[in-house]
Amino acid sequence: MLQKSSLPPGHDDPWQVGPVTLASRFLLGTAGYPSPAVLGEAIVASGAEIVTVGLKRSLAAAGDNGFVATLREVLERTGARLLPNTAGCRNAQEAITLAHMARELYGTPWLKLEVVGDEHTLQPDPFELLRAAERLVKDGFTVFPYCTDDLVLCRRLLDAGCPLLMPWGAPIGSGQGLLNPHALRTLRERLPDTVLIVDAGIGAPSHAAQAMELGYDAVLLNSAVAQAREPVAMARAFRLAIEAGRGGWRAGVMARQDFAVASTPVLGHPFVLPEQP
Amino acid sequence: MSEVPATITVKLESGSAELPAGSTLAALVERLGHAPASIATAVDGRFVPRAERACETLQDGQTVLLFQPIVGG
Repeated sequence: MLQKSSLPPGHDDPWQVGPVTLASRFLLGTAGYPSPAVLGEAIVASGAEIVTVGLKRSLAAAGDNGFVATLREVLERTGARLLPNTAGCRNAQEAITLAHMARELYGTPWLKLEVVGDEHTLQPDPFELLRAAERLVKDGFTVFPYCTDDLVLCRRLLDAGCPLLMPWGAPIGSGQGLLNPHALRTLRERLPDTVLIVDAGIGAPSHAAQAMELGYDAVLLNSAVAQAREPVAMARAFRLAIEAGRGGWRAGVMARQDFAVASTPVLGHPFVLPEQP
Repeated sequence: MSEVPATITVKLESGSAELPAGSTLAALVERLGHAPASIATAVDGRFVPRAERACETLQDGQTVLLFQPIVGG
């Protein structure tokens, strides 16, 4: 007999970041929205329990048009957690310094560790990333490393003490979707007990659903929502796609076949007609 | 005996600031108009925690960077 859960989506299928239990599998970036109000509505519509933030250099006291204030108000209302990033860092030392600043400003040890190694693709630098991760874990951070889909690098990041991995789907902000599903599938298969989050490159809800159908635990994206014609509606669409993809993974997607396999269990032809003269 | 300069100059993100010799990082933050808890600080690329700014005496030629929260992806 079918049983209908009375729990909200995700609450019967939680996931963990260390001791923290989460229901939503949608991590949302907060940059590039047309207004603070739209950002706030998009966070609510997404159901996200983790939102990313950054740091920027500042010369004199200056405002940000109210984005951070709105963000803090929405987070207070929704209970979502902050995940500060180290965007813009080009080596381990820069990332380590910025991480400590982020912890002081935001009051959380959670950190999305970004160390970019190529200006054109914004590809993570695996060597500097690992070096920074090793240091920051020792300094008490919970490191969410934004990394490539290289299996050996991912293993080294886990060995360094990262509680999860965030391999890229495609270059940041490109919206190209999952460029290398094979590598992502390999990570899932080789690291079955690791929390895996696809971060970057997702452009459409179908991309997010695909990541979840591969067995990924969550998806992190920003531009696809912020740059949509209607960001709030797109946040809702991604939420549904992520829930659908997760549901598909849990239900077990059928194996692919090279040829057609009739789905209706008929015996031979439905009619036996006399041959035409 | 060499004369101690009355002022020092520190480099900022854009431009520089002239300060009385012996000025602390906390004094610079205040002079720039920031609430102490609204920014994070680094001197010559080294993070200086908020609690240590009052003890961080700036030297001539040092680079001071201030960071503030922003939205991010």
